[in-house]
Amino acid sequence: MEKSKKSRNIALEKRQIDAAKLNPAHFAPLYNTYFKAIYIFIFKKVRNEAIAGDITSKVFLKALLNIKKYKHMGFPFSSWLYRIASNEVNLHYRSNNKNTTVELLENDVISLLDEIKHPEDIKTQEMMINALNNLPLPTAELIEMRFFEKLSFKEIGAVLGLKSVTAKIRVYRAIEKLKKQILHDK
Amino acid sequence: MKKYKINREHKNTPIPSDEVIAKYKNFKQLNVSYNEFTKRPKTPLYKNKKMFLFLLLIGLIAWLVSENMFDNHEENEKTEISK
Repeated sequence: MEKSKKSRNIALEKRQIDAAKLNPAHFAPLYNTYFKAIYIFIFKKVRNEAIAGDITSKVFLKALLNIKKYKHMGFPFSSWLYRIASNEVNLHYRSNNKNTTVELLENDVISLLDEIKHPEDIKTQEMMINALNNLPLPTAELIEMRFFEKLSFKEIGAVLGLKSVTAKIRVYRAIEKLKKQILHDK
Repeated sequence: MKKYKINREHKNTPIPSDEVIAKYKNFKQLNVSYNEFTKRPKTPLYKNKKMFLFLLLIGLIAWLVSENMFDNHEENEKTEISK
């Protein structure tokens, strides 16, 4: 039942994409479906409503301009949008020549410490942030997506163009690297 | 360069409400931007000052080249007749 509903949704989405390829005005259903998710995804990265709105507009404009080149590769359409959004956020920081400072909520840090089975005191929290800053960027971003942006493995897979199982494996490898980094920094 | 730091002031991520998100949602504007990118400009090229000068310059060069070729051709004909 669930599977047939899913395949019906995929078929509907494919029809919407094909229609948008022929006429940009038919992009509206895709825009309405994904606007909120993409806006929130960007907002969690930039933490500013207006900037998030501006970048979201750019994302959908880019998607509309390039939809003719879009080919279905087995991933949901949203994965393509998430990837454009991720690139646009990076471009925003690069064009403003800004150093990105990601502010993490204490509760999220505590839940990550809980996941890696470390004490949750302030000293350990700071140690973990230090370790996170010393990790290679792609590894740190995996942890960021999972624990701070609270994306599901499916969504992380969508952003990175991976299957959700592969995304899960990569996240757990990233956690292992974080644990090693904390031990190394001690 | 990306750096992480802890924000101890806020306990939860204040995600904007649906009303706020709806404020930024505008498909009509997206269509306008798309048309600006894809449709040709309405003013003809020669009405653009820079483009007009560029076209004039190309026309002038073409005229000079053709004149030069014509002169050379005439000179060649004259030398052939005198021979």
